[in-house]
Amino acid sequence: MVKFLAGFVLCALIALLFVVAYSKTKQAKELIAIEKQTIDLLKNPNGKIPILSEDELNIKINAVDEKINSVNKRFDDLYLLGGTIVTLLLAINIGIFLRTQAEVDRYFKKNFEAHLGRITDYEKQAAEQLGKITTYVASLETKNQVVEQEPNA
Amino acid sequence: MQIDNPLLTSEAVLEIKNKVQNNTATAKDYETLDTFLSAISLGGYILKQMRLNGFPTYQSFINDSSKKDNFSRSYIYGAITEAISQLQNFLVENNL
Repeated sequence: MVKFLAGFVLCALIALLFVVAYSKTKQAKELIAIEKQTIDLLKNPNGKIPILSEDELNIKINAVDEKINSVNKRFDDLYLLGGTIVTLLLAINIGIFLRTQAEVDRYFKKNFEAHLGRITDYEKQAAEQLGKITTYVASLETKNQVVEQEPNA
Repeated sequence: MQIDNPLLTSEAVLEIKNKVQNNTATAKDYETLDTFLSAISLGGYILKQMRLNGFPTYQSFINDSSKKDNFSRSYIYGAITEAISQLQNFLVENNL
C-alpha cells in the first residue's frame, strides 16, 4: 500500500514537472516571438510604425486586462484553496486535541475511584504492617532487657 | 476501695482479640489489654501509641472512627493486633 502511494505521488510529481517545463517553454517561445516582433517593428524600413486605430488599441488593452484579471483569479483560487487546506488541517488538529482530552478525562474519571481505593488500601496495609513491626521491635527490646537482667538476679 | 485486676488468661486475650477484629472493643477492653501487656513489660503500650498518633484517650480512638487519617488508625490497629499476638505467644510459652 505504501509503495503504491509512493509510486502515485512520484507519477504526480513527474507529471507536474512536465507541465511546468512545457508551460515555461511555451512562455519562453511567446516572449521570444514578442521580442522579435518588437525588434522588427523598430527596424521598420519605412522609418515609421504603423498607427493603430482606436478600436485596435482598445482590443489590445482589453486583452491585456483580461490576462491580468485571469492571472489574479488564478491567484485568488490558489489563496482560497490554500486557506481551505490550512483551515481543514487546523480543524483536524483541534478535533484530535479535543477528542484526546475528552478520552483522557473520561479514563481518569472512570478509574479514579478505583485507583484511589487501591492506594488507600495499600496505605492502610502499610500502616498496619508498620504498627506490627514497631510493636514487635518493642517486645524484642523488652525481652532483651529481661534476658540481660536474669543473669544478675 | 476495690481495685479490679483482670485475670490474664488465654480466653480473656482471645475475647479482646475478637472484639478488636470486630471493631466492638471498648475503652475498658483496651485498658485491660494494656494491663495484660505489663506481663511482657509493655504495660501502657497501646495508650502510648494512641497518644503518639493523635488520640489522647482510648475513648477518643473509638469515637473518632470517622477521622480521615487512615494511616494513624491502621498503624494503631496493627500495633494492637501484634501486641495481642505477642501476648498469646507469651501465654503459650509459659503454659498459661
